Amino acid sequence: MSEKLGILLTTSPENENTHTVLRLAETALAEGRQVEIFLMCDGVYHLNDARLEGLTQKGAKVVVCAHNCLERKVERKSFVLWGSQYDLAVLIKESYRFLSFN
Amino acid sequence: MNQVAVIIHKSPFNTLRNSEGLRMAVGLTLEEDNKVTVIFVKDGVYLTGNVAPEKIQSGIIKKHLEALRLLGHRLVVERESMEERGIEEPSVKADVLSSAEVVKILSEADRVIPWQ
Repeated sequence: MSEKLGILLTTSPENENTHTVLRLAETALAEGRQVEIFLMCDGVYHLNDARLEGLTQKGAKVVVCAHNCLERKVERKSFVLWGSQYDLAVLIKESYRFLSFN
Repeated sequence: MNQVAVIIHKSPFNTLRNSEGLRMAVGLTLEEDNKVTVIFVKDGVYLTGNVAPEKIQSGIIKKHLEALRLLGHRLVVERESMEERGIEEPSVKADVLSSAEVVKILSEADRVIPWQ
């Protein structure tokens, strides 16, 4: 099992964090690492961003806080796991590196 | 034990995000190996004062603070930030520590989440 890079993203797609997260995730995947991204707060708007779906096609796992999606009326998408804060708690424990973009 | 430090530094009156950061901190305790310390610095220290931001629809604060404390996790308030704002002591049960002591907590943490 390869090392997992955990990423928390809470900002909306127009924030510069999005570009950074996408590039970091792509690089980690290219190096053969696992990547898991947890989206919460305005970060859940990335469900409408095709670049994130592209990332999952390259092997990244994306989990969203369902509570925040419901608050913002963001529709469920097939490429993400409809999760909870428990998923973030586990990710923080399991990842070999954890990066937070707030 | 996985030491997780969450830093809150914004006032509770101009953003809903503090409430979300505390909700996240409570959520982190769902993994039993996570030991969470929430650190309040700068305007974030107002969250530990006798305030009721929910009255202006600014999100739940006290319920999350109480949950963290009851679950055995730690709340820390930076002394210098309190003194700068004329706050003598927090109204919730929290450790008041110096900047140097806060830095030590952060340097020893396995994970640090600065909550903006």
